[in-house]
Amino acid sequence: MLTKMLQGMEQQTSADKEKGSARGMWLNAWSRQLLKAYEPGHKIAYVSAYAFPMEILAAFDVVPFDFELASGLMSVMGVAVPSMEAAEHSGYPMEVCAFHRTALGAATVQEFPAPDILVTTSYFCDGKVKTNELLGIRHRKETLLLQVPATVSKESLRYVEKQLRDIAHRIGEVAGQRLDEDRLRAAVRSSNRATHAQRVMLELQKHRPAPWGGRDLISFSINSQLFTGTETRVQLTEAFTGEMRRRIAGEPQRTEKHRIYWFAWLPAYQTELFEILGEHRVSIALCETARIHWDDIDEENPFEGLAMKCLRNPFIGAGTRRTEGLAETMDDYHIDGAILFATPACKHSNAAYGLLRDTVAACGRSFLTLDMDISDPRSHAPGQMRTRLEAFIEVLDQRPQ
Amino acid sequence: MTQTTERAREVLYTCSYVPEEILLAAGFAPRRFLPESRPGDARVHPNTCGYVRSLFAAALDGTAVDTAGIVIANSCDAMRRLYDLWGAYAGNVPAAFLDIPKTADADAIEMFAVDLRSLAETLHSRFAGRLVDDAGLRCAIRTCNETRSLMQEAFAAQHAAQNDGVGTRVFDLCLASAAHARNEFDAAVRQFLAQVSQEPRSARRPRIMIAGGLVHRPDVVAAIEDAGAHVVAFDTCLGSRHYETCVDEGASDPFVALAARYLTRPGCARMQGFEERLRWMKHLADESGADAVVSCLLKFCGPCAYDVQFLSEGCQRLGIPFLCLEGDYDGSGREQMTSRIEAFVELRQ
Repeated sequence: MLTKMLQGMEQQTSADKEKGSARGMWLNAWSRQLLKAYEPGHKIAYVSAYAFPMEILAAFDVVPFDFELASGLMSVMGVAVPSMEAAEHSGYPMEVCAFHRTALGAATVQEFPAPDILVTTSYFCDGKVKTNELLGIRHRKETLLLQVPATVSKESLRYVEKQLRDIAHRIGEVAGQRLDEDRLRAAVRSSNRATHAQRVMLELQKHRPAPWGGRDLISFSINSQLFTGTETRVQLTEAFTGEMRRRIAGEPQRTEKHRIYWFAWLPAYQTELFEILGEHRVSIALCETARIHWDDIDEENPFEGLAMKCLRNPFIGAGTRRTEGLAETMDDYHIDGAILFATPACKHSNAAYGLLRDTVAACGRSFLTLDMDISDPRSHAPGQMRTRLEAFIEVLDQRPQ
Repeated sequence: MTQTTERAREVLYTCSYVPEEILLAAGFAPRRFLPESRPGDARVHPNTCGYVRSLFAAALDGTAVDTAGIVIANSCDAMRRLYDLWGAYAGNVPAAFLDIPKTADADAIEMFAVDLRSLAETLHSRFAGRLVDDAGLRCAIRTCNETRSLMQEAFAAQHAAQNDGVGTRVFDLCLASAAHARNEFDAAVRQFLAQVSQEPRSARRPRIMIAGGLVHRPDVVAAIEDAGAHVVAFDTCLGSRHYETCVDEGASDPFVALAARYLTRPGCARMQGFEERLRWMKHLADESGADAVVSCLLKFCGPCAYDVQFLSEGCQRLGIPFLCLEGDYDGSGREQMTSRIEAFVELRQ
């Protein structure tokens, strides 16, 4: 079923892509990438694209497949519930993240392509590590875990770097290739260029009204990482920044009343969340998943640079990493308030909510915890969501301008 | 046994992966912190497990204030956040964070040894403990190994036993280890071992192994025994996993020896290794002659929630009936749990 829907998505977005629409290019690239994983003859590497350094995979002839992103896409398309139910009927409790229930259920009905190797990281989150291992057992394939310590030190840097070399070696064995150092350098170069383009994007988002935002900004910031280390990621990011520039140049646009900083993820299924914000002229000026926490990676020393990129991930280690420099950032982006999207199973994000709330309050901004599932539409309560959002917007309305 | 009187020198810890040896070598009395269930504080998200919520509530209400500090391990995502909250809102009790790899390969052991050295330094610099040296640490390792050996004997006696109430008594020992001074605890284990072999054996009854992560409430053990079964093994964080495998006393680097022991002993749900956990469960069932497994799942425990299906299916495949009981840290839902246990035991009779 998923392949048919992906083929439809690929066809639907082709025309937009031809017209130069950044969104069309992105969705088209995504569908093509996913479809490629279903084509025979490819080696498939399951991977957590938002956490693992994808530059390494880009150096091999393997097709990355992120079961969380694929589960999210199933939810976007409204076909995730049967897979979740399959997992639940086999005994997985509702505490298991909806993305993971979808992936575990989809594996039982062979909805997803079979992996040749599975790679993930120890952080974030516990559930992803476990699902990766469960899927590895189901498919009788090797599961690799990149263990990333909570602190940055010379020992932890050496530890992560060594693991990355070992993982690259194993991927090479599965792909039937030796690591091509030049190809890895090229992947790192692409990654650095994409980072530069993303910096431009973040700079443009400071403009009032924000030239981009909402669902697409958050979603792109997460799932475009599937393309990190490839020219596709550079082209997509540059396409979006081009559109943002044109929007700014072509003002006047819609007026903007409030600007939001968005913590964590977003619901994959259809909701009116972003439409409600739009109705009230609330922009999402910045999401934390779009922020850049790493320096340029040294092409001549890629494993060390990639190890440092992992170690500096704000979701690793102390929760305060997520709030470092937040006051300054909020000033830079003219932020009025913050929303934490809190999906029930996401302990590493949700359990920080007290800290996030108090830090945002200390910055003199309002804060909303939006408890909603990330991917399971069965628990969605649209009325409750609207009431909470509108109450939050009322609070923002009362802020002195 | 009497409660330890050295409260000012206690260091609390939250997970079986925290090496008590380092706390002892730094001059502290390690105490596994199992506070009474408390209503959650508004700063902890309601989907967080009751153990983490209760730990934080205890931090705020001053329960831990007489201690030298607390070591919070990277047991799970929620515990990481507890460390953040503790630092931000309970600053009167110093907290140290212990990172723990999820794997047990040579590189992970080396990294964990680095983290253990760092913990030793923190206990000295922030908790005002003794500087941990190799000699002191080796002494602490011997002390803890002795307790482990005693508890392994106690578990072996439990596995072999057909005496009424042995499960409850071993469970009480497991709880006592969390709260009492080590010499008193060791004496209590020796007393149990001396008594248990002299006691009359009851008729053959269904033999149940209790499995899970943090299983700290005696109700479940009592309910199984009241239903007419023997509790013959504890595959839990406070049970046999905590005591299995001694630290190599002859290793050249005691920190590496500790790291190796803690990462390679039978793992809990936080570690990689579903198949290893199932093998360990089968081993314990064979050792104890368990007819069935009662698995206790703490509500909102992320890692354990992912294990249940695999272990349940695996046990069924091995011919070991498996019952999963979900319960909260506060022990609510006792009647429902009792009914399910009674029905499960009845099927085994």
